[in-house]
Amino acid sequence: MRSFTRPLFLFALAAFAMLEPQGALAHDAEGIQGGFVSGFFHPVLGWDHVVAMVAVGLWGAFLGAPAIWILPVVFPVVMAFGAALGIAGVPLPAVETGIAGSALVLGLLIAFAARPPLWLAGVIVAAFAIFHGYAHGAELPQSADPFAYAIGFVLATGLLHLVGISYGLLGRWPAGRMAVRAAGGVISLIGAGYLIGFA
Amino acid sequence: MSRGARTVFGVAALAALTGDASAHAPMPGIVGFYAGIVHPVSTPFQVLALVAAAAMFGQRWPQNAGQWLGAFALAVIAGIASGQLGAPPIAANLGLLLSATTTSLFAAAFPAGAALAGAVAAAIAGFFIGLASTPEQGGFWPTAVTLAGAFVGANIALAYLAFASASLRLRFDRPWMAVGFRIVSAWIAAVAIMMSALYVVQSATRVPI
Repeated sequence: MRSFTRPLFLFALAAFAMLEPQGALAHDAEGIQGGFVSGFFHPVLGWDHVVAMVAVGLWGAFLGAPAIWILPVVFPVVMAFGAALGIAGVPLPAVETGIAGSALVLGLLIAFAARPPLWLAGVIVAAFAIFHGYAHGAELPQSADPFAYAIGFVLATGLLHLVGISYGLLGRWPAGRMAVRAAGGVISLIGAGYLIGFA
Repeated sequence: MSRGARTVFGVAALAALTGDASAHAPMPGIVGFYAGIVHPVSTPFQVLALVAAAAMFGQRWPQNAGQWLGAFALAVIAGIASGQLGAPPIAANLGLLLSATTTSLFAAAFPAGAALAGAVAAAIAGFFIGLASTPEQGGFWPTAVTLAGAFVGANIALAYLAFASASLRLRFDRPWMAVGFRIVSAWIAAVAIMMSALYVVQSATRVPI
């Protein structure tokens, strides 16, 4: 029965896909697809964004509950306020420096196993989220579909946090704790590279 | 393939099948009551407000579901009535975004918050979804039938999404599921905040979203 069910399920999915009519979209990312894809890849294709967002999840997991969920909740909400500043065209100085600095500082905090009070960890993460949000938000009005773009980059941000959380859970074991701290060191080096212009 | 893997695979396959946006495009062949039914889910802002409310409902199902659904239903009537009395559409769109923002922030920050606050959030969502579901002016009976459809559609959509959300939480009754709900609520809030900012800026410069 099991060997029958799986092909039947795949066949049903394939049939459904064929019944879903849509035009050929080869290499033409416009509208919802273009908006979502460009939004999704905006944080993913910049290493400074990637390492900083992974660091947020990594640090949250390293600090343990409740930071493991508070930091990934605080970051996207405050990031959205930063994006609002970018959308409104409010000038914000040193955005790229802030993004690179976020990787440097968060990486160092992980590498040195810093355990500040929860409120302070939230404030640090929120402060850096403003810069990331601003960078995304400034591009949002020009995107093919702003709504899909916003969903894409929020989703990508959350998934990068999840990557960090997953890796950070290694910290339950002594060897894993060293691996997490080493990852923090690598993140801080990448941040430093962006900060001084090597990356 | 396990049941869970089949579900994930199926949802992923469906998510990959995104079509073109058709928000508020004409709906040939759908008129009257049925046009009213689909109206509350015909724009992204309405869907965002509904999903935000459903995430909030899902966290508290079944404790406060009856009160909140009742508050939502009454508010939909109030919103539809306000639309008929001439409230401007811009108020509906901005209201939907602010409703999605406040509801999802409430769900993210206070999943065990006061029942009254949840009822107020549900009522605000219902009001603006009703306001945004007002059809073009026509004769009395056609308009009444379409508005009745909008009332039914809004409540069915919320009940369906809320039940789906609650089923997911109850099916996987684990601590990480509660955390997941809070994180997803924060994502919804983030999208709503950005769309609010974009809507205000583009409304001020008269650029359509």
